[in-house]
Amino acid sequence: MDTTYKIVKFQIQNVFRSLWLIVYAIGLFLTTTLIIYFTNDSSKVAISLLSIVLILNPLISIFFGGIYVYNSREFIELVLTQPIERSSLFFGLFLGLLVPFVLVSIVGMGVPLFLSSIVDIPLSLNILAMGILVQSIFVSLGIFVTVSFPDKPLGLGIAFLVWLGLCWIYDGIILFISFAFQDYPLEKFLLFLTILNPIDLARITILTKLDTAAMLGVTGAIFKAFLEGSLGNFIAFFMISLWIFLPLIFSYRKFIKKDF
Amino acid sequence: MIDLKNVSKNYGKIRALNDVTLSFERNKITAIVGPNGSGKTTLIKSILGLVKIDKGEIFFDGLNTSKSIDYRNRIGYMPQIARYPENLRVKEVIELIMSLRNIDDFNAPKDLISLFKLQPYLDKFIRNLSGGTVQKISAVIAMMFNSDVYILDEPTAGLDPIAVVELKNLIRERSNQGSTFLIVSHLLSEIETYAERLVFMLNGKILIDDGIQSFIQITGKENLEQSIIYLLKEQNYFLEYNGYNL
Repeated sequence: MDTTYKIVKFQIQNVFRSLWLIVYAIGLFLTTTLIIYFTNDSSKVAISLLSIVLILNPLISIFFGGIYVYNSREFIELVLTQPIERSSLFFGLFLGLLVPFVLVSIVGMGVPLFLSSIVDIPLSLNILAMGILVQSIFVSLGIFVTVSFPDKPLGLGIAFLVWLGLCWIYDGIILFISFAFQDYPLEKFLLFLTILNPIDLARITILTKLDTAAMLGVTGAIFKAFLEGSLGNFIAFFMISLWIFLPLIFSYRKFIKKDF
Repeated sequence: MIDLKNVSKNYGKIRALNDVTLSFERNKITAIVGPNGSGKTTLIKSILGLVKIDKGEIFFDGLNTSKSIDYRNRIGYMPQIARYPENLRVKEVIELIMSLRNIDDFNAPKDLISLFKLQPYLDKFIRNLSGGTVQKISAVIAMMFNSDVYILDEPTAGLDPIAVVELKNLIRERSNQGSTFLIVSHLLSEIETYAERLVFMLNGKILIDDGIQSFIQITGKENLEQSIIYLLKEQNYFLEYNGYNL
């Protein structure tokens, strides 16, 4: 534990001095502030922020997380020649990356959101919490990719594909299915598909909490009923946790046996 | 001190270490030599626990290295290529490695820092340093704990001539005080001046394990470089004739 703490501490120090993280934080702060001041409707602000939380943040988490781990390769080697357990370094790496990302979200998005009070506090907290969970998922996926593919260009390409798949292609497939089979009762199947993808799950969880949720139609009503029930809540939470911990567990097992 | 017993390691189809049995005795300087891809780095990385061996066992002072991590407290390691976190200061990197061994006193490596003239760089960020300066930091990190064993991978590559002399003197000094050295190097003329024992590797096997001077004598050549070239050209005949491993 003590060693993990030391590694997290030094990593936070290192990551916080990175130019890209500072630019990201400032960019996030400015974008959130602009969205808030140019939009007077709470639902519209929430939906715009959702795009950042569910598309931009995952890309930055998986991509910069991946680059960071690849660039740390030689240093990871040196640290592993010290009398420390591999598990301490592994969790130190994960937390040392996640904590700066989470802090950037809180400062870049949370602060302007809470200062403006255009979006009520429970919904703001919901968006922020979803954002942090999605960041955790993509940092975890980023580490999985870097541990699985020693080759940096290949690994980063795969990281990009993972992001593309979860954030865009998956939605395209859902859209295609709902058009192609629009004559059939697809609601339950679509709900099932939505639950499988953490991005869709996070999005729909927030959307059903908005005032405009009533306009989402029959499918929307079914989703809302499901996600507001305790079973739905549990399943949503379980699926998101699974997306964080499964890649992490697989990466951990690889990392422990890996040759450096 | 360090004993390898029937150690094998494959990377896919490549045999990096092929049933290697080898011992490193206390306070000797051993040079590990061989062409690229002969298994030198895999050998030292196996000892350090960076590479997980497929077969065999490695003992450090009689204790199996796969069972504990404590033995690494007694090893100083200098990697061939070092890259430190770009946004940390030199001082912070050294402090981090010290803190991983639970040493808080930053004065400990003071002498080494002045030996390699690193004082002006202590507060500089790693990203602003030249390759040679980074290599000096590696030398300080490897040597700062007064270890029983030092494992150095191409230690003088990239260092300026003054730093090379200082490092060689330091190696001799620590060896006289009882430390064991394992040095991987391609600079045959250089290792001849300070190493006592030669381990020559080829295709994951130990071909030669002998005193440097006695090896040169056997080949009848002028120096280590000539002897190694002779060995590589006349490999089979020479090894068989002189009773080395085949």
